[in-house]
Amino acid sequence: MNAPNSPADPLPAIIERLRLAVRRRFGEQAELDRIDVATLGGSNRTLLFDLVEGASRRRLVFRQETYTLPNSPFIAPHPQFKLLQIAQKHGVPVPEPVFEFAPEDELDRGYVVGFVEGETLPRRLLHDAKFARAREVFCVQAAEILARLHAADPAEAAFLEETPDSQDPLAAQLARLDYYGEAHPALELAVRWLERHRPAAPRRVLLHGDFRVGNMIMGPDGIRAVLDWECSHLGAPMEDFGWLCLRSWRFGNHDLPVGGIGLREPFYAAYAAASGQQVDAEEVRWWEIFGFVRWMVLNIMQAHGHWSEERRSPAFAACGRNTCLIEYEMLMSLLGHYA
Amino acid sequence: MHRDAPELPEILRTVREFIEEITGRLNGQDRYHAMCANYLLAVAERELAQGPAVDAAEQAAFAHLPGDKAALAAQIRSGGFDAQWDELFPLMLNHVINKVRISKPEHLHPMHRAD
Repeated sequence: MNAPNSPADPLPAIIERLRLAVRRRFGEQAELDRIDVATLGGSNRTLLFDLVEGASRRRLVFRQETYTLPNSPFIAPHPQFKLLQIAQKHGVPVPEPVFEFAPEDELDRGYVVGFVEGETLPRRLLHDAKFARAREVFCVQAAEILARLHAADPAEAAFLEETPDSQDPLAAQLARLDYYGEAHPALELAVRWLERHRPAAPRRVLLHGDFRVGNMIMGPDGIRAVLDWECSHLGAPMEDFGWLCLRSWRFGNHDLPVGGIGLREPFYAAYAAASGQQVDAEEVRWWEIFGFVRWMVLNIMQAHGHWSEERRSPAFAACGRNTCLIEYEMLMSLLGHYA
Repeated sequence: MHRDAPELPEILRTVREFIEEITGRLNGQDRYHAMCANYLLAVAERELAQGPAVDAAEQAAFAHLPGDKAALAAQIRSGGFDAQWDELFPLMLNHVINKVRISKPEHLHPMHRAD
């Protein structure tokens, strides 16, 4: 018996509902096996499990949203699932979308996807000998993946039109920054610079929105799956370039601008070859300065979550004091000291 | 009048050293949060040591700017400093360098390191 104010462990009930959800789709004989908890709580819950159908067995991932941030910059599970289907259709490697939860599943918002074996930790991907070959092919693979994604008809993802980032990504950042209520005068220098140097209206494409090392599963052979589609929106193709090349996502390999793994030239050339679109280095730079602003705003968001008592954590508190590290790199980039 | 020993910097150091000692025995999220807690304590120690001097220097350097951070930010965003961009930029860079010196001094480019 649990005391009324100490909730029972939710896991057994969730696993039972998952079992029923699986049987609704795969028949009464379907079984779950080897269930592992990857994350429990926070803003989402992730479980790994085997779907057993007779003699066949498939490793799957259960992902459930447990908490929605107020004024969240992240899209909901339903559009995420649709994006996985669109990406897969266009040849972008993603975890296979298997099924979405329906109301009768009583699992709230979420979905089940295929499990992809591999590594996501940037430190290992950038340095372990095991991934030497993956690093060699990284620039070309990343460029071809982005070219395929950007070639999709944005009308297929028309449901993203309503996200603020699809309308004006800079205005979307400023709206969030103002909501968190902490002024950063040096950050505003970059905001002003961005306003005064906006690139000419580019072609409008489907963007991943968080395309960087850490958000992809890699094997010794290279990129196996692109994850974390919750920042996806419609916009300029070079936004995905600026984020991948952001100094913060080089994990210390500052002289390797493309994800801390490769050089710009082969990456830009591979994208031009695959997409037929030339890459304007100045436009990429604009999106890198934008990326610093966005990355600062995301850190300010985490710190706000902490001090507003919404979700306290030493990690979120640390984000607040890390914001100036990004701010410094942003000013050094504007000055031309960092490239 | 001072309170009894240990004084505040010594208290922070004591807690930081204790967390550093147990961090290696922790796993997963607890270990990560312990590392974040260490980081925050080190920030607090540096702020306690350097904060007052930095604040005084910035107050003098920014005397001709809007005193309120929010007002300054709003004016920059609306273009109110476009004409004084070249004077404002080094002041803001210096302000950010001061913040980094407290958060993580080794993050600075050698041209901005004090040591």
